[in-house]
Amino acid sequence: MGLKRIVVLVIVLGLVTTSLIYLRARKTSPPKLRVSTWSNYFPDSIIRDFTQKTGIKVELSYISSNEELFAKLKAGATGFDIVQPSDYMIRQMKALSMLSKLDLSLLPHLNHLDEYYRNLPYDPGNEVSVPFNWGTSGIAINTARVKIPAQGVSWSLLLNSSFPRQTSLLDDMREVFAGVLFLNNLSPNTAELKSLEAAKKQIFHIKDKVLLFTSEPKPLLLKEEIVIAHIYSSDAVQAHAQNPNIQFFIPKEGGIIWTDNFAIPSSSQHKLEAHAFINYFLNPDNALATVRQSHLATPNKTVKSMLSIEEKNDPNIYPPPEIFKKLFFLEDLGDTLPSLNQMWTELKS
Amino acid sequence: MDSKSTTTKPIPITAMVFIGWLFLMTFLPFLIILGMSFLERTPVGTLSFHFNLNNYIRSFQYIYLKVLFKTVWIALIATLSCLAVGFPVAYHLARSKGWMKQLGLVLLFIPFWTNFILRIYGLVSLLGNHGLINQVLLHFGIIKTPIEILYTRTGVYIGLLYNYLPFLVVPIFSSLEKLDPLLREAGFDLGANRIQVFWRIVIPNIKEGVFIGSLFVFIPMLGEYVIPDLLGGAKEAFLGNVMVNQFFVMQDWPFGSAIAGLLSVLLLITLWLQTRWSRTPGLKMEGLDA
Repeated sequence: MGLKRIVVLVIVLGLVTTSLIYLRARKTSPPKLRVSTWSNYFPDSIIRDFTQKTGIKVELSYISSNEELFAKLKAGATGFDIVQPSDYMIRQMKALSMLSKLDLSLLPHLNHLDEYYRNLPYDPGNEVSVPFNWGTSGIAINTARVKIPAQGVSWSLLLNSSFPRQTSLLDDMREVFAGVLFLNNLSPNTAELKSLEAAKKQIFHIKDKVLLFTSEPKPLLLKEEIVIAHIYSSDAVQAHAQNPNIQFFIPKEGGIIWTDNFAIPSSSQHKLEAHAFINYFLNPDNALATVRQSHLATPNKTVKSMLSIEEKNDPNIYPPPEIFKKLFFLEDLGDTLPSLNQMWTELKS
Repeated sequence: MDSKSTTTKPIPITAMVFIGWLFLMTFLPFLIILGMSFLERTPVGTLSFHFNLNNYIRSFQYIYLKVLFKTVWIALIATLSCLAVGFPVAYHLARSKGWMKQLGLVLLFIPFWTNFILRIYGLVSLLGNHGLINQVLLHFGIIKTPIEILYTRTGVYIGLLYNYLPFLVVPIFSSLEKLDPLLREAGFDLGANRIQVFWRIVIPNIKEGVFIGSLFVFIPMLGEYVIPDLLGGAKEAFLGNVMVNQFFVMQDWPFGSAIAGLLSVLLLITLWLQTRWSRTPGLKMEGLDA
């Protein structure tokens, strides 16, 4: 055996032992919660408070889409203790047993949650998830440039726009199809291939008239590159705050409602601490600060009662009952999904 | 080195690092992708270990071939545009002297100290209807209405040209550098004019550099997906976008892997043609050391 080989062997053994020591040390040190979240979601001060009060350290990492989170977890990323999937992703992860069953006795603050959000179609009884925020998808309009029709805003204003190359659609297959299906007076969860094919043809014609597909139309709205945007309510509210002419509408045919949730992956090693984290953010004081930062709607009835009159009555955040009735959750399309995927690829090619 | 000595000599550490790296970072991932491409997606988006060729059969559907040909076509046009701009740049750089040459090379690469995505966003704010270029042109009355560049195919071409140009300039520059100036002088002495010297002495001597530079930009363009999304408005997919969508949106990893596999085969064919075509065997890497 040459000297060099011995050197290499020593280096390799050294690396292996140090990593083993590191792993052992990590197990015995005080618990650290690894939270996968969306950017700009938790105010830093509240996270610091949580660590001070409980001694549990928190490490945040960010995702930009549900699919990214799904891919990370499925690819075997372990070590996440809290994840924040949206409604449809909860359904999918639950079906694959990727989420751990919640121990509701560890979540006393759950009683602050509005009844409606205790029994959502994708996870009745909060078996694996707790809704934390909710919002809607609709249309933002620059009212200085576009006149609001007297008979109300319809999806046709966006989809049959008379403002060529000044509109944007969300870069999200289900959302775009939902808009066209609403326009055709169909459910956004239609799984009938004939209706979907027809919608595809319509989108194909619209495609040349929209400026772009993007899930972040806010900067373009503010720069007035676009005047009508398919948009998430949270972005629309922020755009409105910077330019009051930009107004958000749920079209009269209907819109999409979505939730962001807390859930614990089944691979988590710190389930007890993860429950403490969820309970902490169900606490109205902490939830209030978070909701004010994110411009989303809260499912927490105590928090809602603490909001100012203006905040509570902001129709862009909390649609009035007659509009709320027209909001739909996106549901699993099951066997139809691959066909829809194929249509989306054809539309984008 | 004869075969006997290679069997007795221990493999040097540098070689072990090199081989280990290649194995871990290139060969192993490629094998995983290749293996996955023969699997199936279950309705809930997980893998089913049922080996078959369906993914490859599916990738020969009209829609994917259309995307493939469009990607190759756009990459080809963009490579030719890079050549049209890059060749004069390389030629001028190679012929300039002293600090001018150093400064030129540094300036060529300064944008690359900034992250790729940031540079793309920079282009977004330059090219928009309310972007700097249109606003300046409008202000001075050169145009009446903004020129549509952003979120069109022109925008995609500009992004490709801007981002890949230096990778083409450097190999051409270094083969021009190696060209013995005496050859040109000899040509002039024998009565050739400038055009004849250029076509019959300069070009034959640097054509491999030109070819390699073109490959350096053409091949990564085939896998591009950020530029069509951010500058093309996500309206037209490159093969890279279709691939990324299969992994991150459709959750069909096996099919995404099959597309990746086919793209790799395409690249290998290109490289193989290049080695066949060049006079010396193997990919000449002279452009890389600059």
